[in-house]
Amino acid sequence: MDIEMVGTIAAALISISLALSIFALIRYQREKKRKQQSSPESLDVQISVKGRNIVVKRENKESQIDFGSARSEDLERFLKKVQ
Amino acid sequence: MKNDTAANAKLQRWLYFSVSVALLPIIFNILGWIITQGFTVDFVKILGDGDLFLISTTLCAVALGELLEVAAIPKTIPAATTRALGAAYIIIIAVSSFIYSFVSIGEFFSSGTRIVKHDIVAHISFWVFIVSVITSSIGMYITVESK
Repeated sequence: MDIEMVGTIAAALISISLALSIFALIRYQREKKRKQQSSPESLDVQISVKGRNIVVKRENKESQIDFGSARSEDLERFLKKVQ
Repeated sequence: MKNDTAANAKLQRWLYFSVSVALLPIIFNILGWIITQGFTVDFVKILGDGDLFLISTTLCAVALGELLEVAAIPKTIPAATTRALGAAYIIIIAVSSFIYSFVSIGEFFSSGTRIVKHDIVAHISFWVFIVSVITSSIGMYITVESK
């Protein structure tokens, strides 16, 4: 066995190795895409704080509440609004 | 998106530190050559002993370790991806180790004396190194992003 023959075998093996890694990458990207498509869409909710108020904005609907003085029914109304 | 950015940053860190630092002995060898011999760098003499095989083996071994760590967590990487990447790493590790030992021993088989064809060794080691960098980069990208 000489180095030329070893080189030829090595070239074939590393080509297989490269092909396997490219296959792995394609398979991973495909699986990732499939997972992203099957998962539910994320909610576009923005929550911010203005002074003592908490402001929740979702799909152009805005609602805010002063948590410092809010009663339980106010909280319930607020939560129903933003749900 | 944020996950992608973190994965890219980690991959870049891996490329800078693992690959570049692993190449430092070769880079110093080239610098030494330039200082003593001028700008007529003979890559066959620098890479002809198969030092790049050792670096390739290390890169793939580290990447294989990372892959096994992530693959142990269920539903992170598809099984086919793990198998393909694992096989790719093992092939490179086996090829690098075998050829390095073959070069170290020399071609005793045909002539009975130690002959090393440095030009062929330099070419093989260069291409094995390039493929090992590509393969381990792909593997590191997948494992880092899956974490």
